[in-house]
Amino acid sequence: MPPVPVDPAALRAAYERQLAFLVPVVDELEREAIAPSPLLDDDWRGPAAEAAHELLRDLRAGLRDAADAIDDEVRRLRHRIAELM
Amino acid sequence: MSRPAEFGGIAEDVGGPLLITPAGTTVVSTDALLASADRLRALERSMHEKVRRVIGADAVALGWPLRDDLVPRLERVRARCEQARDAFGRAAEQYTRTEETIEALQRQAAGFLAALLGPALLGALARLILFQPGVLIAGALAGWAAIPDGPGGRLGTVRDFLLAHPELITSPEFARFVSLVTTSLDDVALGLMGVPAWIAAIPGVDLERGGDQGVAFGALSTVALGSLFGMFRETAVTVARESTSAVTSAPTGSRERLDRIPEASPVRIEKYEADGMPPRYVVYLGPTETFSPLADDEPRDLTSNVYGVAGLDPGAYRVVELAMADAGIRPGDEVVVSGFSQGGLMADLVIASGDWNVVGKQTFGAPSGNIPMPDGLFGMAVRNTDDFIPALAGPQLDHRVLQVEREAFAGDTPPPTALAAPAHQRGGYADTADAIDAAESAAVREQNGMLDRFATEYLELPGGRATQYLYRGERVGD
Repeated sequence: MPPVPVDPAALRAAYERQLAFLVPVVDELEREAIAPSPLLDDDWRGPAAEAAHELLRDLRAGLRDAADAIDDEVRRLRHRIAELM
Repeated sequence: MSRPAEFGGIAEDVGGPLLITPAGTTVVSTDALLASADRLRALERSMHEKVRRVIGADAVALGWPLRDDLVPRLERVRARCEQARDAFGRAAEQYTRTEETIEALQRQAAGFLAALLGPALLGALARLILFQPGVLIAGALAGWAAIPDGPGGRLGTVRDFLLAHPELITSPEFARFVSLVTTSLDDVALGLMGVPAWIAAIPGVDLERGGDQGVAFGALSTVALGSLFGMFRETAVTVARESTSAVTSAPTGSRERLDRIPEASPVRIEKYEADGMPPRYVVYLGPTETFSPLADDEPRDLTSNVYGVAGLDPGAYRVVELAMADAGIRPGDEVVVSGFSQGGLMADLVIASGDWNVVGKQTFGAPSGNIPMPDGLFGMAVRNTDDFIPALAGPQLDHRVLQVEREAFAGDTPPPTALAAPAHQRGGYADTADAIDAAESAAVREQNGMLDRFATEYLELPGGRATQYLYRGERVGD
C-alpha cells in the first residue's frame, strides 16, 4: 500500500511542538555547562581536590555533550520545517 | 555586622568552617559539603526535568523521530551528580564514624582511669584530712605562697595568667578533655563502690539517667560535695517586670537573635500579635551573671548551672517560668526560646519540662547536651568547638534538633586576651552567628528561615504588633 499522504501543515505543527520542548532544554544545558561550579569551596585537598576537579570536568563535558546532541536534533527539525515551507 | 569590642585586636573572623549535623542524624558535614550536595541535587532534578521534556518531544504525534541517545546522555549527567552526592555522604559518614570511634576509646580510657585512680586519690585525700590535716594545710599554704603576689593579689595573678593564656582553655582538645572528665565522675563512684575499673570502662556501665553517660550524676555529686561547705544551696526566687515597650521589628538572622539575648536583665519576652491570630512569644534568656558557688540574691549563678546540668530545679529556671507566666503565656501558645550559655541551658529545661508549647529554639554555647529534646522542634543548637562550657554537660547526646558547630579561633590566630574563655564570649558566638546567616546549605538556611518567620510573619499580617517585657529575678531566703 502506498504511504498515506500527511498534511504538511500538520507535520510542521508537530515539528514546532517538538522544538518548543527541545529549544529550552538546549538553552538550559548550555547555561549549566558554563555555570559556576556546584561545589562550594571547602578547602579540597589532595585526592579530594582531584576528585572534585574531575567531577566538575565530567559534569561540564556531559552537559555540553547533551546540549550538542539535542541541538543537532533542533537544527534537523528546523531544516525539516524549512523544507515544508 | 560590627566586630565585638573585646575582639579589637582581631580584624576579621578567624573561625573554622561550619560543621552541621542535621536534625535526626548524627552524621557531621560541613556547610559547604551540604550546600554542594544541595546544588548537585538541584542539577539532578534539572536533568530529570529535561529527560521528561525530551520524552515529551519524542511522543508528539506526527513528530520527527528523535535520536535514541538523548535521554541516556542526560541520564549520564544525572547519574554523575548522584554518584558524587553519594561520595559526599560516605565521606561525611566515614569522618563521623572515625570521630565517634576515637571519642568512644577516649571515653573508655577516661572511665577506666577514673575508676582505677579516682578512689585511690580520694582515699589519699581523705586520709590526709583525717590523719594529717597539718600536712594538707601546709601544702596548700606553700602552693598559695608560691603564686606571685601581684597588684590584684594572688587571685588576681591567677586571673591575669588565664587572661594572658586563653589558648590553655580555648581548643577543641581542651573541650573534649572537659567532656571526658564530666562523663567519668560516675566511674570514680563505681570504683569507690568496688566495681573493677575494666567493668566501669565498658560503655553503658554508668550511673546514668536517661542515657546521659553519668553527666547528671557528676553534677549531683558536685552539689552534694559543695553543700558540705555551704555551696550550691538553692533558694526560692521572685521575679519583677522591669519594663514594657513596643517592638518595632522582629529579628532576622541568628546574629540579630543573639544580639537580642539580654545581658543586664535575665529574661526578655517578645509577644507577637496579629488580628484574629493567637499570640506568639519569643523568650530570650541571658547568660550566667556570677560564678560564685555561694548563692546570693542573683539566680543566674553557678548554683543554677550545676542544678540545671543535674536535671534539678534551678532558681534561674524558676525565674523564667514565673516571667513566662507573668507575660501571659498560656500552655498552648506557641513559643520559641533562645538563650546564650546558661540561658541556653534554661531554654532547654523549658522545652524538656513539657509545660510549654515550645515549637522552636536557638541556643548558643549551652551546657545542655544531656537534656533530651522532643521531636518536631525547629531551630538549632549552636556551639563553638573550642568553647569548653557546653562540654560541662558532656557530649551532645540529643540529635532531634539541628546541631551547628564551629571552631571560633581556628588556625594559627591566637585567641584575644581581653576576656577569659574567648570562645564562650558573645564575640565568639557573634562570629559564628554571622557564619550561620551566611550559610549556603538548605539544612541551615531552612531552620534559620523558620526561626525568622516565626516572628516576622505576624508583623506582616493586619494588626501585626509586638511588645517586649524585661524581667529580673532574685533569690530570696532559703
